[in-house]
Amino acid sequence: MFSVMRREWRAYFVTPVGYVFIAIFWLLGAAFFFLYNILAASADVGSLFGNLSYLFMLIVPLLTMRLFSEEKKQKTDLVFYCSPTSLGAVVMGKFLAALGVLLVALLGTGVYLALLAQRATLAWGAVAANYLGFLLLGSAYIAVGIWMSALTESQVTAAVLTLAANMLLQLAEMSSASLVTPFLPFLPTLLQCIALNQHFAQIASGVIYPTDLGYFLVFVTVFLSATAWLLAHRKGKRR
Amino acid sequence: MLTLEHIVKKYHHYTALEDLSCTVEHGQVVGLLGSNGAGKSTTMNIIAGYFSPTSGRLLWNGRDVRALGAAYASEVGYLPEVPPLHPELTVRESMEYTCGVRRIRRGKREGHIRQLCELAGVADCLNVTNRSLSKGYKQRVGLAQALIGNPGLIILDEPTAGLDPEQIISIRELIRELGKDHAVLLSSHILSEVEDVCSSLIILRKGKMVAAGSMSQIAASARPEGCRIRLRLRGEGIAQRLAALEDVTELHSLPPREEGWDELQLTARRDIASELPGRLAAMGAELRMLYPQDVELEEIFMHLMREEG
Repeated sequence: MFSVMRREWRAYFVTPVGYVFIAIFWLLGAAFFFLYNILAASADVGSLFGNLSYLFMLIVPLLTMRLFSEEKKQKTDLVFYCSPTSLGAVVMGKFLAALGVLLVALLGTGVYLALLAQRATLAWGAVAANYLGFLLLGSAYIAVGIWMSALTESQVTAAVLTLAANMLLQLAEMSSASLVTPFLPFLPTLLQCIALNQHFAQIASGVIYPTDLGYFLVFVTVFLSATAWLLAHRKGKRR
Repeated sequence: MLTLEHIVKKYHHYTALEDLSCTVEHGQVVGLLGSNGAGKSTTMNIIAGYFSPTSGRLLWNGRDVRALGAAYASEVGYLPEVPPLHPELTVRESMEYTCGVRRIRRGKREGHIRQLCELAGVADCLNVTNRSLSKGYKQRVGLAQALIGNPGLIILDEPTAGLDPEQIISIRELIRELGKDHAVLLSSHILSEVEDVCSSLIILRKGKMVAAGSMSQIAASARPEGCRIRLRLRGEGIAQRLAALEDVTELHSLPPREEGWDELQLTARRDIASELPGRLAAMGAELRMLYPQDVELEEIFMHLMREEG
């Protein structure tokens, strides 16, 4: 698992992918910080973090699009398929590498908070809760992205599919209110349950329920397991 | 010892391998031959664990490889036709990554990598990225990668493709060495290479095994009645008289190698090499050279391909 993680980590930084991801995140994060905190002279980091969560949705596909699709295209997947390492460990290694890059990007935003803390008193508990929420939200997006990457040989297709899936998970929350129908009375509740942002917002507000943590844990486990299953299934079907 | 029992591989309605049963023993280099689409790569991919067979069993030292799982994967080293190298990594990083997924202990990796890279002749480019390597070097790095963990079974798909003559000779020598204490399965389109390196053969045609065994066994089955003799002689009308002999089935005149002497190739139903000098003397022929010729692999291969076709 750690060999796969190290290789992926290195691949992020010998190609521009890792740098581009971090640069976009930091630059747009700085723009949000300037707009919502500096210009508005506000110490409330809620708006900053809220916008960063949408940014995550848009740029996480950059991190995940090549994870399996490129290996499949270049047939380098043979190295792990024909090795004693389990497919679950391979998936986990790739997941942790992507999460590591995301963590670096996330920790960089600490600079904005440090600047803010010089002029205002921050609610550090809420900040910590937001970071925890981000980590969980990012993990969920990465898990979806890894699964999409295992579905196709094309990096672009993988990225587009990941983006579409992440947007659907966002829309689930927004559309829950408008989809009240007597035929499917449980639909709004169901959509609210599966909506990532619903759980993220709950954690970010500082009220951490085990159900929200459990939701992310189950979500990530399901997608990573589905990826390992897909890879194993493909082995039997491969031509 | 690797045993394949009734291996079948189907892709929807297309059967890539049909009821393949054979063995690859330790201390043996087995050549896998067949024209394009015969199922060689599919066979190798199944043995390596990259593909799963549709039906049939693979046994490693008598145990089903599905039950062995990771233990079997540790025993197999595979160099496919295109070496699986990540272009962005250096040779050292590639080897370290493969050591990692093949579960080689961290403390042993450095020495092991150096040893294998020296063996494959790539020790001088450990810090070069794979994308900068020539085809021949990539092939050699792929070979070094396949030998990581000293696997008991080594599968080599066209290992000398893209190498220069000097490298080809050294890789063939290496394969012969590996064959002494490993089971080696080698696929090559260069029949002289297979003939030179392999102790036995498996010949596939359209997913079916058409011959298996040692060169002599296959030669005997491909030409069961035959014996071929090359002659250098002279005498009036000797070729016609030889052709008229009861056991002789074919007689070809070859370009002369020595002035004043005829060069002939004779094929007989049975081995008449020992009695031929006496017969020729009785015919009044002067014999300068006689030697029985082995049937060449190329001929066996073409014969089997025609026969099945």
